[in-house]
Amino acid sequence: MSNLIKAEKYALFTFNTTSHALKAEKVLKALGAEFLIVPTLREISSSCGLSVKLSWENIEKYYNDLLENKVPVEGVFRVEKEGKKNNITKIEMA
Amino acid sequence: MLNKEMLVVDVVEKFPCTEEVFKKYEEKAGNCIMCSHLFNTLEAVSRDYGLDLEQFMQDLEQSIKKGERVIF
Amino acid sequence: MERIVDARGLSCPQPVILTKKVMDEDDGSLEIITIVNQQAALENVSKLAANQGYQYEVEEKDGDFYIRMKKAQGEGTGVKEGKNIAVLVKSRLFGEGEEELGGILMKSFLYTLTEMKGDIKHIIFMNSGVFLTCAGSPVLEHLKALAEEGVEILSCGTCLDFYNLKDKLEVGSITNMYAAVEILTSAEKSLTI
Repeated sequence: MSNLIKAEKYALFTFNTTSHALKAEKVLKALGAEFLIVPTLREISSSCGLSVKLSWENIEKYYNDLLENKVPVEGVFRVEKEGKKNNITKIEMA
Repeated sequence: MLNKEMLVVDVVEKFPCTEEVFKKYEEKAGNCIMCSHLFNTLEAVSRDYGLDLEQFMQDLEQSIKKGERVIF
Repeated sequence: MERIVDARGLSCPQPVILTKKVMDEDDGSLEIITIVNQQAALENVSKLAANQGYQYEVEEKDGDFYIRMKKAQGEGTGVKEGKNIAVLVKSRLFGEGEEELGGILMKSFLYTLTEMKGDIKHIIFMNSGVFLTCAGSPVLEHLKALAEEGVEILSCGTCLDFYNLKDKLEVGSITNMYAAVEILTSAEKSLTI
């Protein structure tokens, strides 16, 4: 997981409310997912200050897992860190 | 709490109680470790004097555990 | 200002330790003079001076060595980069309130610290904060990443002892109240969580 801490290319899930973020943590933990609870990047406007950081490959699966567990994900972002700047792309999930 | 990359000086400064362990090892080494190797790593000390690094570190940690109760 | 460390007759490593103590208080304005009367002590104090970014001169007088040390100005070797911030974490949860929220905020906080490269020098864990540095902690990976970046992770020995965690410490080293207070008061900025 320490790789994920330092990862400079990753995906972020944002949420509508803090309770959704808390619930997402529980669900992902139960699934044995590799993820981190992180503050929502300043560049992203979200209703909740907490996001889930995870590696890019897993997002589709975990996005659906969260939906199935009634945890709506507000936004999905691809983040690439370049020095101090973050390049952020919003992803539309099918 | 210790690792083999730590310098002798840092260990003695942080944990003065380890001084006794170094002194004990000086008898084995036949030389004043804290004079000649103060700015060397624990690993370098054990290499230069042919000490068992693991045992050496264990003895140091043991003295820290014992010593701490006295400090606070 | 001049500070004299008379270490004559003291055996190794005392002359170095005593000199280092004064160096730790030095904001660059001190001239430290350590007096020793043994070759080994002279060599070691000189090494310390070089190591800590001090310029030094040695003068011999009646068999005693006077080592005059002054912090090198500007880009000295011993000058630390970054801001020197110390953080005190005194609970395993961030703030008071619901346990669930406190836990998640702590994760989020420590993650943010991993992104502040170079500025944080020490993180000190006290009271139930020491659960965070021990086996089973939800933020072990965060702290290990910080330690790799050169942040010193310190746990209160009394607290580890009280909670029976002494053998469970997984990251960083043990400190006591003296060292902790010294770090917190000498840091450019300290935060309490």
